[in-house]
Amino acid sequence: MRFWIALVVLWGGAALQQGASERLAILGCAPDFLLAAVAPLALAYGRSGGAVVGFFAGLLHGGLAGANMAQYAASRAIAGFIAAWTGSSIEKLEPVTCLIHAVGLTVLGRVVFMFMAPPAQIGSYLLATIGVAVYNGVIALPIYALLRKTVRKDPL
Amino acid sequence: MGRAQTNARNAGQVDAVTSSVQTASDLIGRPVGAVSQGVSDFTQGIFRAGGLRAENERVKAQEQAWSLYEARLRDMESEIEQLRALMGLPPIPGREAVTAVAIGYYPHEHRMTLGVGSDQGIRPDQPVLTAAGLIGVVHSVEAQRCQVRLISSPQFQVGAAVMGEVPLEGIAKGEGRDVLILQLLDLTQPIELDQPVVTSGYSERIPRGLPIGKAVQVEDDEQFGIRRVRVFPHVRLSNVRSVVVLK
Repeated sequence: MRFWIALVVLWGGAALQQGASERLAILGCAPDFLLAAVAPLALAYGRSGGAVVGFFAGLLHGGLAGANMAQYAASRAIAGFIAAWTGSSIEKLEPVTCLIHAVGLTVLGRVVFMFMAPPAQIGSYLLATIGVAVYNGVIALPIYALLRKTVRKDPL
Repeated sequence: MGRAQTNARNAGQVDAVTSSVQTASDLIGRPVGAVSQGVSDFTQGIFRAGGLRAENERVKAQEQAWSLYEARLRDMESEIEQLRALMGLPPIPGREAVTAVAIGYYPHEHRMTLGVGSDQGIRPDQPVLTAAGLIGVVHSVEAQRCQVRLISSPQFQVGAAVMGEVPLEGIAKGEGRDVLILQLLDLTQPIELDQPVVTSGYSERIPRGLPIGKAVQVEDDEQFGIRRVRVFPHVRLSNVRSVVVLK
């Protein structure tokens, strides 16, 4: 069950990333649906699950962009693992916790990616990262609400 | 995996993993894109109805003028082709245009995915443009998709010229999101700001005269004998929805 939920969420995230992300940009900051999907999944699936989900989210993102997938996969796997690790000590998962984790995971994932594949303009990239992180925090909430209904019934 | 990607890309193709990811995502991604575009158009239509109506009238008038001009242009092009054939010169590239829709835009990667591919005659290195000007060149091609390397990419370079009284030719390179750098070796000719920059045509695939942008800053490096012209592109890449590929 957990596998299929992760597959559907990541597939939906990839489709939204391809078709809607840039059209939803506000002040030059477009949401990163795949990173936003990793945050609640990582919180629900634990450290190894978070790393695996992050890895495949990176693979999808890199494949969609036609970019080098290794940097995307590695940066997202690290971010997923750390997000799950920091989340493992939380006894009761609240929406606010998920939002904060999504923001933190986005910043971490993008900063790790920046070191692996430095962008041409680092300053504007970091500024955009803040906007993307806030955006992702908001997007992660409905994903979290969906997962709460389904994954929580499945033993974590 | 990285090596397979790089090898495929250097051959103007797409590796199996990337192709599978894009095919799987296309199943939902294209409808999602079409719906979000429709919603965006509808919203803009409500708030900009007056302006859109005036723009529509203007475009109709331009279309009528263009239809008169097009016949003359075809005659002249045909004559040029005949003269070139008589002189034994190869045909000018970019005569045929293929319209395409952008189905993905990845600003960090300086790439755009178009919904046309080798089935429509698309090949690597063909120029991609909008009505305002050049936006990039085709980089890798699949049967029904292709990836465009955008002019903002640091890996992008094209022969370009500043169109003054004497055209000054050099190589324009992408430099991040908003600007290109055109390197010239001639430091003597004056360049005025806002002068248009177009493709120089020294390419098998990219014809001469495609608009790129305008010169916004000129820096002379007398020590190395190089002049750098900052070029602001005509096209705002994030707004591009439909394009034309010249083949």
